[in-house]
Amino acid sequence: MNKEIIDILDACLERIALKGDTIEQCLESNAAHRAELEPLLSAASSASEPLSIEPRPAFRQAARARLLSTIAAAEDTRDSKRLLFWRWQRRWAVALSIVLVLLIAGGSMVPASADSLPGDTLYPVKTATEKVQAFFTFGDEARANFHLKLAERRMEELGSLAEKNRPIPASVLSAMRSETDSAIGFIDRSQQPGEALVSRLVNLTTSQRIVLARILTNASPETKHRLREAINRSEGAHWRAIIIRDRLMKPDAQHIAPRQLQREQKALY
Amino acid sequence: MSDSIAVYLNSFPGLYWQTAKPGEESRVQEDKALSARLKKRDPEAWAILYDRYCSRVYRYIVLRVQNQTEAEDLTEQVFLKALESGPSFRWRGAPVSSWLFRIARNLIIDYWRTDKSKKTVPLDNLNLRDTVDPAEMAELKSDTRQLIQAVTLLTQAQRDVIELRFAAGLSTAETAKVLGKSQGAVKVMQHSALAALRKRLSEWSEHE
Repeated sequence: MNKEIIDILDACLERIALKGDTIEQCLESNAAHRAELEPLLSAASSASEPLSIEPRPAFRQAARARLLSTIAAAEDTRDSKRLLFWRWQRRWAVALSIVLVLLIAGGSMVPASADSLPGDTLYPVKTATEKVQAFFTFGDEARANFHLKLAERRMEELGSLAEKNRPIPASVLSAMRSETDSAIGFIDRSQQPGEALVSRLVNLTTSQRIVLARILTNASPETKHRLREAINRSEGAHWRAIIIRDRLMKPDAQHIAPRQLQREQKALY
Repeated sequence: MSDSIAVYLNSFPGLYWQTAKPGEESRVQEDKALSARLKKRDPEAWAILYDRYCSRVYRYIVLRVQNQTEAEDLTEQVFLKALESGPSFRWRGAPVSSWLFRIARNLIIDYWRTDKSKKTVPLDNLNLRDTVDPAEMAELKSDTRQLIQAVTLLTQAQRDVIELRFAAGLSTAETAKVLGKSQGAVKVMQHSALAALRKRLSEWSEHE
């Protein structure tokens, strides 16, 4: 095979494709090879006929949209993974800094803060210690127990504040509510929550409403509003606790009727 | 670089970048910048890639599978596969088109290998470019169908070169990259394929 004609043919095809030259222009500039080149360039021209084939516009647009939405979806997943990573980082950072502060401040502060109440100087040490303990508590049941303990602690603090006629901070009410909700969440997630754990939850939600109702009687008008809201929330938590208990004790039975719960509530107040 | 050295280097696959022609230099740089953005999954870069190559990839595939529905499906898969492999894509000087058409070629090979009972469907309703004169449309469609038939009678290697060079519109260098051959080998194959094609088309026109 003649290597020269192979190269000339390729050069002509590139000229036609890239520079827009015509077949005749190529043949003129390679006059010596015209006879051999002409049929090949003519075949190449026929071979280029499929260049006018186009995909259906509807397909083209739909596939483009799908490609770009796949990219967007992948980006969203990547963002949420990144966010999760940073949340973990933050959690570690908070726990480590608290541990460091406690170590630097001295171990004696921790036991001393155990009996502190909201508004006391050592109260932040108490809550910081709890945060570190929460960080190092693993497993649904253990976490449920831990949050129950904290909810009970907040309830006791509320009782002590009322006894001493000290103001009731909104933060303690919301902390008790969120600890109770967290405990319920972990118990709900646990496949087989222990009976003792569930009873402890029901006792807590029952006691919460009794304690809150007692504080309500002597509270200032502005605190009363917050307490009523807390009682309502606590009733909701109690309802959820009852459902969990019923599910555990009588898996086949119907859950307690709302009317029965109302009767229980009336008996309480 | 002297011409003789360039010709020698061009005969090896993988040396396209070093021997790129002056006119191609800017396109090589453009491809390099585009591939960096594709790697980062920049949506704009992917839209550019899609708009630039969708028709060419489809054309190449529809000629190989001869079934418009399957061709559409495979065309979409090419871009999704490219997206999947995008983060691990490493720029080695090869044009972006080579990467895309290599994916297309592998998908077509898999397509025929997985189910040998697959059938081609007559390409009766080929969608042609808007710019084609409606009066010439019927004739062009008939010529295209005849050409597709003629191309299927070539050897596989010849067919590869014809479809990549003329249906997909790749350069000799790009075709060489897709096929993993030297540019010299592609040029030889191109010559023999065009000669065979010419012979076949002449025979058919004589019979008519």
